[in-house]
Amino acid sequence: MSSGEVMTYGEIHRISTSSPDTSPPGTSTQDDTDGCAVCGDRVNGKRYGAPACLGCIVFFRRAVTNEVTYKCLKGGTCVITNESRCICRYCRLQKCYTVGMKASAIQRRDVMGPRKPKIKESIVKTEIIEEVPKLIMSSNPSSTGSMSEGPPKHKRPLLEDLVEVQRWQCSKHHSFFEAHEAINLDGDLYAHMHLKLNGTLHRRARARDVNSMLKLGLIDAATWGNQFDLFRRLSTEEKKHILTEFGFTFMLVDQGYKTAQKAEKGFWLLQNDTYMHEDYFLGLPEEDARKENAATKAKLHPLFVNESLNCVGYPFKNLQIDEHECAVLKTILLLTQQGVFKHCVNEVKHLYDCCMTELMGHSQRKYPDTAAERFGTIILLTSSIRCAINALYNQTRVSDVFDLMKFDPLVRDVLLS
Amino acid sequence: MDYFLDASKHIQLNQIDEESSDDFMDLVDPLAEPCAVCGDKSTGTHYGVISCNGCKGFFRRTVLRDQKFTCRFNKRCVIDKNFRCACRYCRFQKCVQVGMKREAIQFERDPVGSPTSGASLNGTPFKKDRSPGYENGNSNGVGSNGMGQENMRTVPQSSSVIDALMEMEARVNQEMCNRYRRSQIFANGSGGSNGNDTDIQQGSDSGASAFAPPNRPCTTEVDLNEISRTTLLLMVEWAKTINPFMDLSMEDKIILLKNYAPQHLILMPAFRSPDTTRVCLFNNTYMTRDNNTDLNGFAAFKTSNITPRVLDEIVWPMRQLQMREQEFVCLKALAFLHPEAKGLSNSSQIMIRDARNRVLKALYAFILDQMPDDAPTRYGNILLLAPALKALTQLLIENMTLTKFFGLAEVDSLLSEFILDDINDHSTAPVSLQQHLSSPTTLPTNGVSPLNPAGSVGSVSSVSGITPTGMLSATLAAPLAIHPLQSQDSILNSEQNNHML
Repeated sequence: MSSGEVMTYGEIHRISTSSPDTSPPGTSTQDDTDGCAVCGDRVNGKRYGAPACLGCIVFFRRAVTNEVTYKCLKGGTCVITNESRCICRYCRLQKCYTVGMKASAIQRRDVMGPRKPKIKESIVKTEIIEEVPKLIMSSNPSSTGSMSEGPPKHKRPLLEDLVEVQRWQCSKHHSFFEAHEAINLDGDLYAHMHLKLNGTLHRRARARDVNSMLKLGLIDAATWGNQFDLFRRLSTEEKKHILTEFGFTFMLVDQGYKTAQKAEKGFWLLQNDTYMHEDYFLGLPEEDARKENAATKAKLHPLFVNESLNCVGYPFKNLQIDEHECAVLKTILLLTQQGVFKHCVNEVKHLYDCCMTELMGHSQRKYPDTAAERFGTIILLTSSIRCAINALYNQTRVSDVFDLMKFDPLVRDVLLS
Repeated sequence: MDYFLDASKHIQLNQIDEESSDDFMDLVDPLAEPCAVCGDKSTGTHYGVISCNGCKGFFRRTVLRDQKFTCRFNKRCVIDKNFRCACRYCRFQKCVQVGMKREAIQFERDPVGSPTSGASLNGTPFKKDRSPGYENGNSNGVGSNGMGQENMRTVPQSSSVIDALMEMEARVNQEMCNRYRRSQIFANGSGGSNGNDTDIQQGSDSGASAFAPPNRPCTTEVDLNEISRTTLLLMVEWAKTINPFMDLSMEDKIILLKNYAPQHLILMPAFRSPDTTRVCLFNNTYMTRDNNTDLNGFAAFKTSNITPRVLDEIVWPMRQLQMREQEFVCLKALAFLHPEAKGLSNSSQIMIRDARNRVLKALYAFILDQMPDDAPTRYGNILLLAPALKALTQLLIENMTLTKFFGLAEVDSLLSEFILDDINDHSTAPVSLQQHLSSPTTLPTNGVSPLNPAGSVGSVSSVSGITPTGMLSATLAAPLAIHPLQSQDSILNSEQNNHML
């Protein structure tokens, strides 16, 4: 049958070429050698009743669909050719009608446009979340080795790898802030108002520092999550869901650790050693103090600083927490969001076991007499950190709603959406 | 005329072999005839009509997909070679009119497009894969009721700490049984004859009523408020037995109680729930995962988003760990002893931190004694219930704030004082809390009356007195409760002992 159809088509072709005079009498046939009936360009088809090029076909459809009316400034007798068809649209449309194009032949699907509009997805978020480097190459063999070979004598523990990642991230903090800093007059004003805390000079944090600290928290949190297979396997939406909370967590633990090490009472240090104080006007230049929203900021500012100090800063200082314990806190707070890791419960449990065992070993080495108390206090700190996250999230959202601060697009997309 | 009829029959009979029939070609040439539908060049006889490839395919697609078209004009459109695509309704009507037959379409040989695109068009709707249900852990709520004193006393301090907590836990449960029985009799008595029948039935089960399996869902808001009120009042009694609590100032006591109250309301039902399908409350009712249909609209707003999370984040880990009651009472004490609570004074923080360290040490010693290999893991997993508890606490406070603000439901005044952190009510809340801190003085006195009849006499005489007298009586009563259990351990208890002497 199919071969028959092919032969039939060939015969049609031969008949049409060999005997052009036998065409049906009712059909007005034009030779293919002729051009567009409107402008003389190459014919694309007889779509609306006359042979026309694609340009004239589309022009006619748009003119009829949009019901536009054109005006000719030269009397309506312009010559429509391939080169001059765009000069006068009135005469072009008139010639379309003259050569036989009919508006009724425009089909409904031509008017409605594409059936499924294309959705543009922003690539910026995906880039930052997906393309974060994985720094621990031996993390998985280490975990597997520690599982199968009993006590990890020749394999590095997970905690040591995480502490190395933490040190690497901290070494990048100052360069990250400097890359996003621009010199301006406010910079000069702030630069002259240093404060001496524990023997070193510290500058007051500015709005740009707050933006950078939130962004850095997000990037570091994504880097931390990518050290684990179960985080890398998540979809982008699930990663965003985790980073909404974990970004704040990561930032608070880093800043709390720095505050516990260097700051005096009542001061909260950011990752770049600039400070916040519960007194909003301490270290504030005069022209900023006179702004109209300074009073509102003076109300909100102590809430964040005091909450962060009470929930994170002072407990860290009392415990004299070290970087191993910080690394365990970060990993535990990443895994405590149970809803997202529902499909890999065993891996989460295994990671928990690694963290608990290594933290207890670390506590017993450093504090042999009070290992159990110290371990328990560090685990219970996760409750306090969650309180601080809540306060910080409310503060950020209020600042965004009342337009007290202009947040970075990345921070706005991930944290405030 | 007869000649043409014979030719038509001949065409139909030899449709399959039309290509190889010389006689057919000599008689009628279908290719010479135009398409009967649109007048274009025909490609043969399709579906019984001389037609072109366009009309052939159009007719087949319309029939196979069972499409319905609508004419935008007057159903009299001209179908010719140039305008056949303008109106599909009139084109299809003309196909049928000139004789195209639906039966002539060979369905097994004429699929619409390729199999892949056909599958995508006719595929079944996407269904989400459901995650497997959680395993039902063993129920420890009923089995371990403080009677299992099988701990080896290798560490005297840790054993005494857990024993004290277990003792007070048993006492609170006993009081809950008594109140439950009284409230049931009262509720059933007011119900008339049916109430009397129910009362008779309940009377037979009064001995173990608080720990019987729940028999009906929590249907009214009054149930919720009653349970919350009773639980909170007994929580105050429980808090008085925690060692440094009575030594704190009134403001610090209120801060600790307000910090712990919502966690208590979540922890107590969670421990009694045997599985992850429902939360069991103390009056033998339960709240299911989808509780909206049971409670009325306003009460459902309060609990609808909390119950599933309580089941997933608190009850399920408890069942997975097969948590013992000793571990549970330690978890409660650790949640209560929160040195970072907002507004605590420095001296109170130090005392609370020391008490928390004692509980942590006791809990770890207990776990190390039970299962020495997995002690750090189990210890850490039990303590990790704390952040989930804190998150649910914030959700509960937020729900109650919204409920009270919008007037969706009547929030009990006691619940408001304990849970909502209203700055405007700061002046009135301490007074009410002080009253509640002193007014239930008779309960522990009744508990210790076999040991010290003189104490009960003094307490009875002071109940009729004013508030300061009640506070003094409460202060005197608490050491009586603590003294037999912890007299050999801490300096504070020794001082109290000397004070009594």
